[in-house]
Amino acid sequence: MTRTRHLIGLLLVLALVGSACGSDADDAGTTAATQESTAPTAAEPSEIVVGCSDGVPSWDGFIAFENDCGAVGIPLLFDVVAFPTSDLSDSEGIAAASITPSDDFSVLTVSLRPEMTFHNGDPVTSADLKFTLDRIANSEAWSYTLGGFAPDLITQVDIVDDLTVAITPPSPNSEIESLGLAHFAVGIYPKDFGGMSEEDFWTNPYGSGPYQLVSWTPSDEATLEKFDGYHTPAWQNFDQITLKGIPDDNARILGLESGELDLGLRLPTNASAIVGSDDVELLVGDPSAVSELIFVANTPPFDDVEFRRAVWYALNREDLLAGAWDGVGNLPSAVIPSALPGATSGSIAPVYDLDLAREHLAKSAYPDGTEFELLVVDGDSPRQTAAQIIQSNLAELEINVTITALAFAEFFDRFTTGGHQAVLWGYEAVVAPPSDIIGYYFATAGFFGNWDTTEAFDHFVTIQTTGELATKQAAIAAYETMMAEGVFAIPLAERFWVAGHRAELSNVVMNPTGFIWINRATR
Amino acid sequence: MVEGRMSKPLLIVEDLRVEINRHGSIVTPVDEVSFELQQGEILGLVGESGSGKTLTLKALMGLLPPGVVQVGGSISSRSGDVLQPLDPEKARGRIMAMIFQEPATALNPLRRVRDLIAEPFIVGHGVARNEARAKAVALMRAVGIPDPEQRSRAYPHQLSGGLRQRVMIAMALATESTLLLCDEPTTALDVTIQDQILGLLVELKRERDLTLVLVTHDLAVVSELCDRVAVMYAGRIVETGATADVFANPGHPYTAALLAAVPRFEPGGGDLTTIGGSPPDLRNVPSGCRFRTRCQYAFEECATAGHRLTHVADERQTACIHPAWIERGVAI
Amino acid sequence: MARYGFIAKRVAGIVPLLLGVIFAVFALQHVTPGDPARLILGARASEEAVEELRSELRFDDPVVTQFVRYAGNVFQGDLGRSLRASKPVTSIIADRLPVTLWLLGAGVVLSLLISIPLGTLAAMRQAGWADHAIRGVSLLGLTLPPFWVGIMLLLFLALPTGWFPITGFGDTFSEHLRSITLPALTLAISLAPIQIRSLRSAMIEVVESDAVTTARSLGIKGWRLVSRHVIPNAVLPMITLLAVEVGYMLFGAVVVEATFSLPGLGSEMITAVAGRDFAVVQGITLVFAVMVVAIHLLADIALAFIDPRVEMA
Ligand SMILES: Nc1ncnc2c1ncn2[C@@H]1O[C@H](COP(=O)(O)OP(=O)(O)O)[C@@H](O)[C@H]1O
Ligand SMILES: [Mg+2]
Repeated sequence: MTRTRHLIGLLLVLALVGSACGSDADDAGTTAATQESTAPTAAEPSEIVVGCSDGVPSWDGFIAFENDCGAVGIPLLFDVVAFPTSDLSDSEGIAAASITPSDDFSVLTVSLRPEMTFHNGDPVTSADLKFTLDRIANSEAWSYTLGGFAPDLITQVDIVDDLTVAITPPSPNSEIESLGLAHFAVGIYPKDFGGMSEEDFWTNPYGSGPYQLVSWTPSDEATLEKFDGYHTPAWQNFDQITLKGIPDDNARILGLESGELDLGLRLPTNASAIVGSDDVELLVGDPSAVSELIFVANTPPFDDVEFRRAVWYALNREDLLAGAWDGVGNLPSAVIPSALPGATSGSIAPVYDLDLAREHLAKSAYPDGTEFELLVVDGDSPRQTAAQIIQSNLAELEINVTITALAFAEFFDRFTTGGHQAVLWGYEAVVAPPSDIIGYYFATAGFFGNWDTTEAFDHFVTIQTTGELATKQAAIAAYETMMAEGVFAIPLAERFWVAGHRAELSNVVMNPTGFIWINRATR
Repeated sequence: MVEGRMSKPLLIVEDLRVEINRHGSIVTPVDEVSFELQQGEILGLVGESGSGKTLTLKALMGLLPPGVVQVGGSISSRSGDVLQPLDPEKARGRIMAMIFQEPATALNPLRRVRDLIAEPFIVGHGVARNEARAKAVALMRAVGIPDPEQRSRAYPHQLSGGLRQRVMIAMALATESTLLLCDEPTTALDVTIQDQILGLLVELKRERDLTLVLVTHDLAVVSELCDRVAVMYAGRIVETGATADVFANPGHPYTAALLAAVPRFEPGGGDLTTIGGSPPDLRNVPSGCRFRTRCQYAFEECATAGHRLTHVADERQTACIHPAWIERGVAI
Repeated sequence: MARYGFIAKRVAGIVPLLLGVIFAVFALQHVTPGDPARLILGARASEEAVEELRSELRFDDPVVTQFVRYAGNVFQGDLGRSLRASKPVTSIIADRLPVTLWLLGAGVVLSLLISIPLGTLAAMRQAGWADHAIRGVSLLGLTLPPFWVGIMLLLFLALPTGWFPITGFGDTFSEHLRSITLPALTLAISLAPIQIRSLRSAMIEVVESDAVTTARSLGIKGWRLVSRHVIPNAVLPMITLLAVEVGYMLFGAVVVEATFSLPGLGSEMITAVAGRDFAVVQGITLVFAVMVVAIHLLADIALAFIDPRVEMA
């Protein structure tokens, strides 16, 4: 029947296509002719087309920080101060020639490369950098981007000379990532938006990045071309880059296969089973997202450690992974997904054991079972399915779970103000860490703060103030020890990112959060 | 004159049989219907509603509705001096046309009257459109539509019922057919209009030398206009003959009952003023004579008698086997 | 004469309806639970930012004042500004409306190209083999979700043949035509089944109608019978059906645009909703509502011109 339908469809479209192809042949003819006559000797311009799940909605990182085309496009248009290396272990200066902490870590001095210019020819100076950093320091929305509950990231920015600024963090900190200086969205804008109104600037933005904007339809397609005055031509591997929003996951795969796309971001995790062409190479990251059952540890029934342990053993994570996440992902191994720095891989090994669960329940205050309410975001379909599986898992222990699906705003409200027993939520690294790692801790710290667990809140403060990776890892390890005792959130499943590129496109590196910095790719 | 008519049958219908398959059970609303139509006559076809008059006409036209099929019988028509089987597909709109009962629904609502009437000229006779329209206006005048020029541009819904029926008649005339099958042409109209339309039909018949079959409930009309009459009951013709003869001396108890229901035509007896009972359900017709269950003269043989129209006189036929009624039919 | 008067009257008649539509779109942000400013900025925004937006957008004025201001702006062609793209909503709509109109236009044309022959065939071969086959296939078309149909078309038509692009709308007319073919076909596959059914039953009804029997009794047959007596009468309910289907079509367009990455109003609607770009959501809702009203108006006018029974008084 399907075949018949296709055949009928085919016949009907043939008439339309006939005319289309006819006129197209003419177009092709003229294009070829033009190319021959105008550029007979020039090398073929190198262009790539990138397919993202969503087109660039805005060039303002404050708005586009959750958007994959934005994450790729913004650092092309605006030169970022620094950027994380692809293994996330360190950051390197991009617009910054040097970043030097003072001896007591109370001030950070950033020097820009000399002789940088914006796309309109104006020089890039320390005044522009101060303008950019002040905008971060003063933005509430941005503080969420870097963690939601973060206090000020930057207390003060002072101009030292034409190319140098001194940054004062709220407390001694030498880690530029935690100050937001190595974030894709912290690209340098011209001071006072080049004299334009903010609205006009974001309608027609320019920066000092390796590419300048040629055309842009919001949330659909943007075309950028090489900026000739860029300081490091080696990072400009293409003459033109097109960013296309292609919301359908399968369409992005098909676009790669047909050659319409050179690079496809955020492919479905089962892409390897779908891709049928040798011309497409897949990049599969390590797990960088985790979904968790998060509960309030000072409210019944979760205030009872034995009850929490019973739940821990009663959840069948394999069922959850298969049922809610289509089997794509891993059983959880850590609260911080294994790909991210600080994760102590394998520190958690969830066990499904109903007998053990019954034993713990018998020792708890609820030997005959009890009930609780589980909040989930309406429309978050994997987690809504997960909630149902949890409901049936716990029914085995006579624990009745009432699932309440709420609109995001209401969910978030109840989640952060403590008016709940348990929620299904999780963490997805959607932008380049390490700022997200910090964001994660800020966020969780916020939740734990609301849960009245002072240890966790201290924990958060510690991470922020020391700012050294080793210390941070030690803190995380301590935190996971608490986790293993079944105190906080119960991880359910881990996920990872998949991207794909045409074989001709080489040097494509994806970091574990799925971030691809196009400047490293070559044809 | 009788001889002349006898020698010139325009149409001969023999053993016409129409079936409807209703959810697996087969009913026969027209059964063993035979009659002859003489050139230039008006044949009245009467019978209670549901007796199969419309289906008989539609079968002749080859216009039986879906699910209703002609399963037997032959229809022949005379062309010159030879009789040949009638092909309704070819005969429609050439030698025969039909006038329907409901002028309100019989006309295509989306076309102007002049185009409706012009169409048979164009289709059947290859007349050019403008000429056909002119002829349409002339025909409208001929069928007595006042102000034909102006009305020709009207749409059917803008006309009264009487005018619509005149348009229908004009359309039938435009085919230049000589045989008109009129299925209760006035039933849906006001009483005052009915006479005008019937008058028009008779006048047209005379002027154009038409042959008419006139289906009607109104026995007064039959007696006034029709040369001959055929009486149908439950799908069968039970009596035919010259109208005057039949009405004066019905040769079938059903005819007598019909006439008795109309005060003016009360036959001698007088004890038959209404027809008792109702027509039989077609799914369950009585054996033998179908009228016998309502007939006060019925006797044993009626239940087994086959249906056969018997000549009781030159032009008189009756299906009744009761000697008394055969006698009455003969007694002219 | 009467016709122009009729059209003017019908157009005038929708003005109150349009006001109602504007009011409904305006009310959208007031009936949605919660503070509209909070709704726009999201749960994560600070109280100060929300306060600032409240006073900037003057949400504290009386509702009537706000509505009059909103309606006034709408009539002056000002639908507000996209908070994300920092562009006037009208310019976003102007960019994207043509794509949606292409999709709807081509979709309707293709659906009629499918449904008219198939509906006619099914009616002519009533209860026959072809009728059953058409009924089965159209039931299938009705149950298959459009995004799935779209992906299958891409997979089995676009990818192997290379005739159609997988994504986007292109720049030239011929590129548009090629880009729109499969999306329009997807839309048509979801629209055609209902049309086929409606046309089939309308055809059967008309074929068995007294008017057609009359035409046949006059010796009219073949193509002339079909084209002059059957189709015009059977097409009348189709016009109404198309008008009724328009809401369903817009819904389909949203799905189809997302599947084929067409930069139309539907895909913008999805991203605007996800990004809480309220002015854009309102603007597109308004355009969709006006399209529905306009299509019904056009259908009314078309019916009045085709069917003389409709009083043009
Ligand atoms: N299209 C049809 N389908 C089924 N039955 C029909 C149809 N037309 C007529 N009949 C039945 O056939 C019988 C004869 O109908 P008809 O010829 O219209 O009677 P009359 O014209 O004498 O009133 C009636 O019982 C009627 O119900
Ligand atoms: Mg009748």
